Amino acid sequence: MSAKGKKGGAAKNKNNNNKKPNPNTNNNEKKQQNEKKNEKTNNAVEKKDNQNKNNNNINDNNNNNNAEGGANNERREKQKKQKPKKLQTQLTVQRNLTIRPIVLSGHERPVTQTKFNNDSDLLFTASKDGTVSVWYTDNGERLGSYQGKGAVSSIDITTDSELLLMGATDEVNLWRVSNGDLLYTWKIPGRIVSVELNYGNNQFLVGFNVGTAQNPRIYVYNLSHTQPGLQPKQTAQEIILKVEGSLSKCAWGYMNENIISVTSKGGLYVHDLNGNLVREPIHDHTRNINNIAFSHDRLYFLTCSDDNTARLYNAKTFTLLRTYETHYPVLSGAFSKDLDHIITSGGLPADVTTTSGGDLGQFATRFFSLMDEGELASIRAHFGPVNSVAFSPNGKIFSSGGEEGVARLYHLPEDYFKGALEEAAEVDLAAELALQL
Amino acid sequence: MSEAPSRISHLRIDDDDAPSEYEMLGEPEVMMEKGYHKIIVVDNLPPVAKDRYDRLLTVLKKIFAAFPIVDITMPSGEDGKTFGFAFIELANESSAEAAVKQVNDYKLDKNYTLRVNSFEEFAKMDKLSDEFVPVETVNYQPPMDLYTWLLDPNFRDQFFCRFDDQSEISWFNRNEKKPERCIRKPNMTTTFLVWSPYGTYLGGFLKQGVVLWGGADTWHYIKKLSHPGVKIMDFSPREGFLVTFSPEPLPIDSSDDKDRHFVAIWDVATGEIRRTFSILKDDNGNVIWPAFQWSHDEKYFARLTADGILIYESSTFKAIKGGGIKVANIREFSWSPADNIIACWIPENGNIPAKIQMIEVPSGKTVRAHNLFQVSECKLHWQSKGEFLCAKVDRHGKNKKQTCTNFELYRMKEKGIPVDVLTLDDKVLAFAWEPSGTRFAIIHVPFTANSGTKTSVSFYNMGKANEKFSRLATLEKRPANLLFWSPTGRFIVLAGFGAFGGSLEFYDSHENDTLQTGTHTMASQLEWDPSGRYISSIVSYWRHQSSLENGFTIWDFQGRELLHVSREKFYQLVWRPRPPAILPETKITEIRANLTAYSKKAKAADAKRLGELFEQRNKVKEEQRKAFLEAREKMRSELKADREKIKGRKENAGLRWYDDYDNELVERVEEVEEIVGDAVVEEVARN
Repeated sequence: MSAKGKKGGAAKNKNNNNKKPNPNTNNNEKKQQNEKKNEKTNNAVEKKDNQNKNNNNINDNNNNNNAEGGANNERREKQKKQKPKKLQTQLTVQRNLTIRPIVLSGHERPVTQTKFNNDSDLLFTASKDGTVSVWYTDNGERLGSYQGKGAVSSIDITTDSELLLMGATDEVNLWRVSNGDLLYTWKIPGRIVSVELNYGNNQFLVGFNVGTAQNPRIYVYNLSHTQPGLQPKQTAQEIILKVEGSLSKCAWGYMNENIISVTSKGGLYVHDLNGNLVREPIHDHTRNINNIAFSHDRLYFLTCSDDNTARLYNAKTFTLLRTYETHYPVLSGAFSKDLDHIITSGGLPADVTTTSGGDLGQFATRFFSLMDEGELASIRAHFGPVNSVAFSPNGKIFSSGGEEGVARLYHLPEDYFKGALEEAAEVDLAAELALQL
Repeated sequence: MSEAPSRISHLRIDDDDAPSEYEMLGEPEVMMEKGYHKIIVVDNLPPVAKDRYDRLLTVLKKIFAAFPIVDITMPSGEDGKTFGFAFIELANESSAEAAVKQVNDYKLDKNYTLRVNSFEEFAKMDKLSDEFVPVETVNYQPPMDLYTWLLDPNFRDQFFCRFDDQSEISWFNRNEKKPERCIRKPNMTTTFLVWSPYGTYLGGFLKQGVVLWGGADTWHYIKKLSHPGVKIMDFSPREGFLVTFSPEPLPIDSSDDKDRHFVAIWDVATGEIRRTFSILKDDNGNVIWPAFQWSHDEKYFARLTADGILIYESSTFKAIKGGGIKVANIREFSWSPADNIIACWIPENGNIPAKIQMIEVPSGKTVRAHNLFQVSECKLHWQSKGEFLCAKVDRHGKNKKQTCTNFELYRMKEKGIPVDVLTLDDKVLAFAWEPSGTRFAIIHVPFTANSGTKTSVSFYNMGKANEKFSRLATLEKRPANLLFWSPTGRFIVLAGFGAFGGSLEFYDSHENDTLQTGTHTMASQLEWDPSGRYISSIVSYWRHQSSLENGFTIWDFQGRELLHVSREKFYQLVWRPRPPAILPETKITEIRANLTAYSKKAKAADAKRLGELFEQRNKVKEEQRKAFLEAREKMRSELKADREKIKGRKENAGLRWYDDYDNELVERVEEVEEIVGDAVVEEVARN
């Protein structure tokens, strides 16, 4: 227990010493809230500790290593910066922005999803190792973890950061975020691909595949906030999807009116809550669609596909607005809140990569201009496919989670919001122009 | 040896009214029996009544006894009398033809001379209109201009790409991130595509034969040459003729043996077969290709046979007088790229030494013969202008082990054809002449070295007449196994493919300086554009199946990477060749001298175009941005209303909405910002 106390103290100190421009630390009231939460969640960790002491010790070690690992990484990135580059065709963030990555390595197996809470002070990382970890976005301190039944494929957090929904194999678990209580479990007859709360948080959907990739289904449940532990005895509203191929992801559409599903055959389908197709399926992508990401206002969404592109749609009319091209399969995408940027991540699966020449560029997280479709910058950090990227709701932080089990947290510097990337792109363009003449 | 040209004119495809350019992809049409070719009409018979009908029938049968009669019909009128003619159906068309010929004008008796005609003739007459219609004069239509690409105002070069089932022809714009696509078509070929040597035609393979594409921007087919199952084609050096090979013999109904119809030589301009040939195979049963080697002016083409070199004339498609060069045991021969001279080498045979021989065609005069000893293998390399010939000779010692490599360098344009000898104690991996130049490059590695680490590249210069050749430079420890000279000379790319993993070194042989090094992982092929400005490296799906690497990179001659495109199932990229300049030599030197003036002009034009391009692009982008923002503003205000509606519903009372939460947050932040100094502490304490 003494070790625990020490850890909490260290965390507090770090919080106090932190001088980087961060909305959370600028905001004193917020900070206090943080600390309150810190105490709360420390309790949660203690509780967990009692259950599984050994595990936690290992994690502590991991945390210590992390700090060093982070420092090393910074150093490495600095070295990269100094290296002169031949004929710059694409810009890397390191050249124009110094960005502080925090490496979060607490998972033993691939990270499948990273998600911020609505306050942007907590980051949840889901992993195939069956756990969801919670981290302070401030300093990368781990608060604790929630142990699911099997590989966690999808998570969601309520707007008030009270409850966590976790889709693990064939169970949806409802956790209280603050103390780590498992409140309720729904059994699902299939393999879960998505769980998502609706706008208003009074319902959530569970998308899953039954058996051999046929008849994917969606269950919609009501969620009671007042007594989370006693969920109403209800049978789910079942939606049998009229799609070809297996379900990759599904999400609530505009104003909870419909549900958008994407499939392994590259199709995009829109069903209403009665299971009827609202419109003709969209087949812009030629291969498996891996993910859907919504803009902050949920007016636009991005589909990420194995055909090396991400596509931007209007969430109301489903018109294709933009296409972002990379050279590698896109596994995940996210919208920047304050600037019209999107980020994408991806890479070829390990079995393909190892049999061909090593180019780590494929595992980069890329910034694109939302309007122009042009690539603005890229960050090469992960050494395996990047399964998930997420932008914090306050727009100041983004995260990535990789196949190698590591998640990374990036606090965007002020320069980013002043348009450093656009500037750099302009400079690049001018340089290229000069080169031609 | 000479064979009569076969009768194959009906094989031509009538391409004037072909409904679709892909019709050749379909199944060949089955010939249905139509028309009345087997029926003949016998006229001038005596009209007979019913009672004598049978007698006349017997007479007719007797007259046509020599032919296989199927049926005889003699129509009769209402009164029972016949009309005086009969239809006779015969078993086949040829006997009908013969019957018409033989029985016509047969005298039945004094009054009746039979007139026999094919029924087809009558049918034809029947169809003729009674009125005279003057023949319409067709206005002269100029043929399609096949050379428009040479008139590009920006002096750009074209290339084609083959990937998946698509073929794409594009311009390469140095300043742009994407090649400017001219056309993308599926089904231009089932296997690969071949440019003709001057770039006029693009040859594609279809099931039924070869298609030559070309012309202006539409890329319509120019010619279709029917050769079912065609596998490979080869243009003559001035693209006047095309040689095709198919493992199925051409379906030509001539009595001579079918072996003769595997290889066809076509006249590209008319699309007609000039002659067909048998195919030669080597000892392992592999087809020897190219089937023929052409002289530089296409006047002659030749192939190696057991007892010499058989030479044909392209004007008559018959063997030249004397049949060619009758020297036994020739291993290999090669035409000079500038004169009608054939160089060949004959290996050692018992006590007779190996020999390199140069023979003038068609006179058959030996220009030079050179005996060589202890030769195990020899390879002939002509310089592109035919000024030099290099014979790379692998020599062996007494134990038959190779000990050194000799380069016999012949100066073809000098009197007596003097020879210089360069001896290297190394194994030679590659040799290449500088196009139109005097330099050559060699990649060599010591015999003892078993790894690729000791590979060196050496450059030599032949110098002027009466000078001895000299070594320019040797680059040691280079990961290279192939040489690619720029078509304009001076610059060369040393490439290390295969085990070297695709390393590239861009080298200036004039300054003896490495310009740049680079790598294109797993690259399998390099190709210079005809102007020597750019070079492409590709990773072809044929060599390496990886969706990660399949694609191409374009570099400039200084080794700067200009463009990288990755494409799944990428097969081919080949630059469009240009015909040789038709300007006189003096004009070309004049242009060379004033190159700076031209480049200034070109740069100014480039700058202008680029400026316009950027301006235009910015304008388009600005418009798009504006439209997007407007639409979003509108949607956002709608969204607000929609959200209020949902929030207002009774069953949704008491729910937390994340956008509300957001607004609260903003308000709170603003609140705190107003408080300064100690007040902050108070504020915190109060909470």
